[in-house]
Amino acid sequence: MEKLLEINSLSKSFKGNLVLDNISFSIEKGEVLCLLGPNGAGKSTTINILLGLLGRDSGTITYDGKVVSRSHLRAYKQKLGVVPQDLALYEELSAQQNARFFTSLYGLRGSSLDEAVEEALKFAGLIDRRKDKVKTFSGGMKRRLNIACAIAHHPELVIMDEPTVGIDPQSRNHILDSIIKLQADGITILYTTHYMEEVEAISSRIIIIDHGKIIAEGTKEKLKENIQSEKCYHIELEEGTPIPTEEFYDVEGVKEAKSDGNKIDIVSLRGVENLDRIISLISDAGAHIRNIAGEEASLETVFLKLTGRKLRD
Amino acid sequence: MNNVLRNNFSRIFGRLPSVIIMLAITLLSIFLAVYMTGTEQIRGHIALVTDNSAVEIDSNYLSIEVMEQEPPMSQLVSQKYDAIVTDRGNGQFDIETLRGSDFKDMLQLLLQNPQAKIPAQKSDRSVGVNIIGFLMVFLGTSVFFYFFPFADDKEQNQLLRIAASPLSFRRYLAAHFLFCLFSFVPSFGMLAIMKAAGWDIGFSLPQYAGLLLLLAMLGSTFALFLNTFIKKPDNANMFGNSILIVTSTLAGAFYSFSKSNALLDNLIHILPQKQFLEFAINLQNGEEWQHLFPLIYIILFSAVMFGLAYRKLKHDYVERV
Amino acid sequence: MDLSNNFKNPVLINFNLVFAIVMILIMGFLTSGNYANAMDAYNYYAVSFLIFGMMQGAMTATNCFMERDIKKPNLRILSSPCGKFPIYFSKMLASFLFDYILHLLVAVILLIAGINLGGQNVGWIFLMMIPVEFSSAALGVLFCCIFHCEETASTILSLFVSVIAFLGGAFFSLDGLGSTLAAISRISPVKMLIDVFFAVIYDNNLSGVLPVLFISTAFSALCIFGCQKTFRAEDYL
Repeated sequence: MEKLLEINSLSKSFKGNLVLDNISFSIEKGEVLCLLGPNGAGKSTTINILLGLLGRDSGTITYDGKVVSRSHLRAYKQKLGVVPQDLALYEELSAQQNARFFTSLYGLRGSSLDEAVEEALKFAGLIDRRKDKVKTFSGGMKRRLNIACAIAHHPELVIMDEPTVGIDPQSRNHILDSIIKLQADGITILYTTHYMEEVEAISSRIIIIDHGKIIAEGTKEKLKENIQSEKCYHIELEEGTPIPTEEFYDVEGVKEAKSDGNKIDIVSLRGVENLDRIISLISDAGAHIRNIAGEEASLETVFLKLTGRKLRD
Repeated sequence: MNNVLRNNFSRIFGRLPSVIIMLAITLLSIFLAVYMTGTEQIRGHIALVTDNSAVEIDSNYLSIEVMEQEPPMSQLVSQKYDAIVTDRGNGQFDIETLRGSDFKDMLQLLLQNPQAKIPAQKSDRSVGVNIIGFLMVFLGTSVFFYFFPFADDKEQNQLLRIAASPLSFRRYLAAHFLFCLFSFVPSFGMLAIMKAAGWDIGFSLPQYAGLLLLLAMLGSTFALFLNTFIKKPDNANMFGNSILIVTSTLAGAFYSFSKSNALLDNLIHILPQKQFLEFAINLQNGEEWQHLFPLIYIILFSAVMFGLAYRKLKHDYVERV
Repeated sequence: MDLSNNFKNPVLINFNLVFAIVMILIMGFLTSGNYANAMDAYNYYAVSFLIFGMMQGAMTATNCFMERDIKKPNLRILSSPCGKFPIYFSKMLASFLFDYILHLLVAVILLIAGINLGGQNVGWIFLMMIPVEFSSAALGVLFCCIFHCEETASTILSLFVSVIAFLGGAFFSLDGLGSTLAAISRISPVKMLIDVFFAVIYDNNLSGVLPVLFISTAFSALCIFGCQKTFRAEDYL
């Protein structure tokens, strides 16, 4: 597939703190690239640099084969759509007025502006509420309007910075469905989030970023393949004797064991049948098992393995 | 730029009560300025204490209230009366006043000879300068109000979205300046109506247009400067209005002060409002093009404030590639 | 908590403390040439700008009650079972205390500088300041309740206070500008306060004290009643 956006050796420091450390990646036309990482990983900094709002210490940005420079910055921005993390909407104006204004910034006028706004509001499911003031909208509706304002001018690349923060699951699902539709229409999307479920639902490719570095890149299947050889058991005990986790390492195949009060997480090699040994160990210690759950490799476990911590610590 | 302007007008509908009240007060201030010019000829308000009803002092320069009892001291302090004159009989008067010796001498002269002519005060101003002085304060305050779209855009992050779009940042700012300029239109309209109705408003309408344009330029660059460097719009407004009132009063917006203090004079001349009023006085005297310094000063001052604000905004939001 | 928030806001402190002192100094200096004794100019403006400052306390109240950053934390108070009255009354109280403390400080500084604030009658001045400050704060909160928006309330109040201060003679007395203006000036509560304060300071005349106390208190009660009728929790959302 053709590359739409390329970032090479991007670095950025704030007051001596290295926030982005020589990162490089590319986005291909028509894909949904998810930038996944915890708070403070460097996702928003990357976005702000891409939008031309923040300077960079080093590195280049290439869009559609051309290096993005001051001389053709405007043309570059024309191709982008932005869904910021903060709801940048005028609460005292209607949905239509908001969409019209933000779309007009991209040069649309007259009937083409009207058509684009109507199409975007229909896409966001807000056409019936177009004349209502934004302050009367729910959080989910505001987020949908936030997206509508970004796509009305038919950008090639839509950059979405955590667009589902603080909304209900139904609205989130609506937004995720909209993103899939956008992709089907040929729009390329760069999506940042710290929610695994969203990445699982929409991503073509994932970049995992932490402490300003890219620590993994690939499709979700490829990333999971790396730990396909593993499985995870989550065991919940009755309140009683805690079991020292070191004893589990004596069981064949066990790679990792962590306990948290009366809960134990055990990572074991796939193909080694050791569950009965693990259960015996627990019974011999006098504890009673309340629940056992097995888990297939997921992005959560990928992140845990790569960083040594959970995504939402 | 038109889209930003249109958007600003849409947003101001939500603040209509404020707009109407502000408009009413600004227009009222024009009336007050005109009225006050007419009353400035009176040099003193006197409480004449006498039980002799035959005593009559009729002077164009004094407003006299006759009474039998001496008024309390607080009425001298609160400037209800400039002096208490007690009739001792035989054309002799005792004068009690807080005012300086100049005033006392003038009063003595007028008491002896009520028809005497008093030379015009250095601080006498034409009606045009009075009007423009008042407008300087009230329109200056209103500029902070009309700059709210920019202030809100910055506080609530719409500015981020706008900066990420291909819209020229200069055009975006120009739209806000133009929006502020529109706020001066009602005042100009009021002056035009007064002139058509036969009132003496001092300057001609084209002159007022030029003066208001200068005022708009000064006010909006100041508002931009404060809103750029002060994070919260409320704080910028409060701070800006305080500075405006202090500096405008010092510059002589409401009342012309005569102080023979070279250091203070020089300090006051740094204020752009002072230069603005000087320019207006030169215009009143038909000497505006012989004394271009005030005009250049105002333009440069505005340019510096704009430049500093623009630089900060560019650093924070624009063209970082 | 509200009181401590106010004291952490340098702009509010500047507005209520520094601005008043600066204006007294400036106006006093500029007009001192009109007086035989320069202190008379400062004496006039000390009282007039102290009163102007008390009126401007209404803006502290609007800021304390509905300023954007304060609105969200105040939501927690709204969702507690304490009812409407404590919500707006606590803001009035906090603003009043903040303004009173700062204006007392201004008065003390003026006294140290040799300004005449009534000698042994200064206690009456400080006493009158209490209900006047509170009524300003109450007015600020009432405006927020009526206009449902801090920005609108602040803007309108700022204009309103400037006009009544101007008409009342805070900048210069309008008494000497003709009978019409003098009559209009009497409408302003600032004028009434200036007259009463000067009567206490210079004439040892305390007859105006009770009316000031009574009218200010009654006005505050009216504002509180107005808030009870007009305050809506949804203005915070």
